[in-house]
Order: sequence, then structure tokens, then C-alpha cells
Amino acid sequence: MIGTRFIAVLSVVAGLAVWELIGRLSPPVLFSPASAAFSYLWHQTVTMALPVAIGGSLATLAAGFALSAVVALPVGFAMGRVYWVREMLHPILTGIYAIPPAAFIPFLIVWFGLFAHSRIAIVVIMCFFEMLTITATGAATIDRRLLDVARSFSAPRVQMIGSVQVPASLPFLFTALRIGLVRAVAGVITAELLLSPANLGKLLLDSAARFNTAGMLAIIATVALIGLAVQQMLLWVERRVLRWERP
Amino acid sequence: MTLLLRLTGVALFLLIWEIAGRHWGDSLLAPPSSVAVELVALAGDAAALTTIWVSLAPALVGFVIACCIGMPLGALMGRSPVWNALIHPWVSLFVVTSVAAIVPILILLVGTGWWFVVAVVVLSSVWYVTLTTYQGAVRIDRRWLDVGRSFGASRLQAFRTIMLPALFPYLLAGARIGLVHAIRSMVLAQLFIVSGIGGMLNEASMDISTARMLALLVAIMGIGLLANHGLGRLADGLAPWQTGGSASTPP
Repeated sequence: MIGTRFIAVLSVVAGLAVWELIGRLSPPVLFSPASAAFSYLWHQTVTMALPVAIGGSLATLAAGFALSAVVALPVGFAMGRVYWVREMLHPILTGIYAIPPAAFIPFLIVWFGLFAHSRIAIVVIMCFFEMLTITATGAATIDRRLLDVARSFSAPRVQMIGSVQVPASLPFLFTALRIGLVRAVAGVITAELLLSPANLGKLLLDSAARFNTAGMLAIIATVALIGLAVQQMLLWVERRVLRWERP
Repeated sequence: MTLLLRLTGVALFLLIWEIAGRHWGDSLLAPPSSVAVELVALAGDAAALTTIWVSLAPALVGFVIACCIGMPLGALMGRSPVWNALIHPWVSLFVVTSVAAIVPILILLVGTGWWFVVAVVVLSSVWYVTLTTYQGAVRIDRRWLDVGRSFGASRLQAFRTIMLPALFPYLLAGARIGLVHAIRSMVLAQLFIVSGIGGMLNEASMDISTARMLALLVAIMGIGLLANHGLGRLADGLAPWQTGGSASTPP
């Protein structure tokens, strides 16, 4: 496995080199080398503009994601476990799920305006249905045998949910959280670009206004790394919590 | 029983929406009764229908391009550990990168025309197609390929008669997920450059009443459901041995 890991590292290094090369060969208004992007990042970090922007974006992310998770996980769980809840909500959710989340943005602007509240609302819309669907699927596919064992020992309903159903659906809950979190990051950036510019979105649009492609690429890379980082963080938590899932 | 519950669910939803809509008024939340009127008006509006049709075209083109790139790429990654190690880090990086972040630089690179929407659609959906195909290719049992080889199948034969049928459900799932993301990013792209459906939504949001905006949302929902259903039908036609292809559940 060291071989493939080596190739992966090599690939990343080669990718950065290609970026650098294309950046140097093309005019700076179209594309900039990696080194220019890094120097932009360094400059923005020294002046504290970047850390403040990242902090602001993460605050929006946390608020929107927490709001969605608090509602989506229990409702999704109920949908998965209770027949009439599932059947009653199914057609409505299939319909709403087919609407691209971005299409709700003009509607959300009517309700929440152009600033912080609206950004949080967009994050909620972007990740809520994703998490709901995954949780519902997970809760519906709990191994019957686990439930049967609990029932044979006549476990009371509370215990049945608390010590069998919830732990059994934890892997799906984590998947829901992980995919929801990545969608939420996308939601934050979309909101910060489409509403009144703020935080990372503002830095990106400022760079775009000055044809500063180095700045734009730097912010894109930052956004990509934030997405990757939050995903890895949740994977790490998942591995710690779900010790029984893997040997 | 199931049908009854589903109908009750929809009816309850519409009822709550109607009551809430009457309470808040058209300017905040138009009730379904006024949205339905708008929807009929929209269906009769030839110019609006043309706009919707014209804005769907780049999404479809982008989706097809994404499939043409993503499916072979995913199969290659699934069958070759070296290529996988080379490509996987980039795919996992791009799949978590929000397309919205790439929009400003794409506008600089390709302008705001037809190809801009295609580019956004490709860049958002190709990773999902790739990763889903990869999942399928990784799971192809070595023994199946070995059997093929023992009977002297050529590479092409092995690919056409063993790998392709084994991959099919994953190709289909990838196309499904890719299509969902293609339609999503199409709307996102058009909201940025204020054209097509995005432009219509933007224009509708200037109205005092939200009825037209909600009618557009319902129309987009119809397009999404129809596209998903159509893809399922196509899959049933192409591979009738694969059951359950036309279920319209979200991925």
C-alpha cells in the first residue's frame, strides 16, 4: 500500500507543478501559477483578512448545518422506522428533492433578506433534504435480526430505540452528516457569492473584480480544502465512535 | 393503503400550504390555489416554455459530456490501482469543491454564454459519475474475468460481455446522480448569469406576488422528476434484466 500512497503524493505534486506551468505560460488575467496563489494566501493571512473570512464562513456553516441536522436526523429516523410517517412524507420529499436547492434562493431572499439570516437559510436548504433522505434510508434498512433479538428479550420500546435502533443506524447517520456537511460548505459559498458578498465569497468576488486570478484560484483552493477538511474530521469522529464497525 | 397514506400526505401538505399562504399573503407565500393559476399561465406562455427548453439544452449536453468522461475514467480507476492512485486524490478533492466557487473564474475563462452553463454542469456532475462507476468497477469479481480468460475471451470480448453488464447498474446509478447534479448546477449557473430558468426566477422574484416564483419551482420539479423517470425508462429498455430501474426514489 506504500506504493499507491507514494503515487498519490506524486500525483498531487505533479498536479501542482502542472498548475504552476500553465499559470506561467498563460496571461495572468486568465490563469495564475500556484506560487502566485500561495503568495496571495500568505498576504491575506498576514493581514488577517483570510482568517476572519474563514471564521465568518465557518460560523454560517455551523449555524446552518446544526439547524438542519437537529431536524433532519430525528425526522429521517422516524421516516425510516414508522410506516405511516414514511408513506405520508415520501411523495412530498421526492418532489422537493427534485428541485435544485439553488432555485429556492430567490424565494429565500424574499423571506430572509440578503444578509446573515438568508445565508444560513440557504445552507439549511442545501443540506437538509440530503441528510433527511440518507437517514431515512439507513433507518429503514436496520438488520431485522437485531430487532428480533431485542424483541425476544422483550425489551421495552424506549430501550429498543435507544440501545438497538439508534446504534444500528449510526453508520448511516454519520454518512448523512458527512454528505450534508459537504453540501453545507457548498451552500455557504453559494450564499456568500449570490447574496450580498461576504466572507470568503467577498474575497473571491473582490479578486474577480480586479482580474486577480491568483486570488480567485487561492480562494477556490481554500474552499476545496475546507470541504476536504470537514469531511476528514467527520470521518475521524466516525471511526472513533463506531469502533465496532471495523476490527 | 400505501396509496391512501401518500395521497393523505400530499393533501395535508397542500392544505397546510394553503392555510399558511392565506395567512401570510401572496407577497410572502402564495397559496397553492394561486400557484396553480400561475402554473396554467406558464404552460400557455410560449416564450417561457421556449426559454425553459433552451436553458435545458446546455444541461443535457454537459450531462452527456460528463458521462463520456466520467464513465471510462471511473472504470479505469476501478480496474487499475496505479491510475486510481494517480487520479483518486484529485477526484475526491473536486467532488467536495463547490461549483459555485469556480463560477467567477469560469466566467473569466469562458464568458457567460452557452458554454459557460455546459462547463459548470460538466464540472459539477462528472465527479459523481466517475466515483459511482469506480465503485462498480472495483466490485467486479476477479473470478468472472478469469472465467472469461479461460474460455479464451479477447480483451474486447471480456469488456463487452463481462465488465459492461457487471458495471451496468453502477453506470445507471452514476448517470442518475450525475443528472441530479447537472440540473442543480444548471439552475445555479443560470442564477449567476441571470439567464434562462435562473433569469426567469430572478425576474419572478421582482414581482410583488410569489405565485409566479413558486410556479416556476413546481415546473422545475416536474422537469427533474421527468428527467429521472426518463432515464429509468431508458435503462429498462437497454437492460431489461436489471429490475427496479424506473423507481423514482432519490439516490
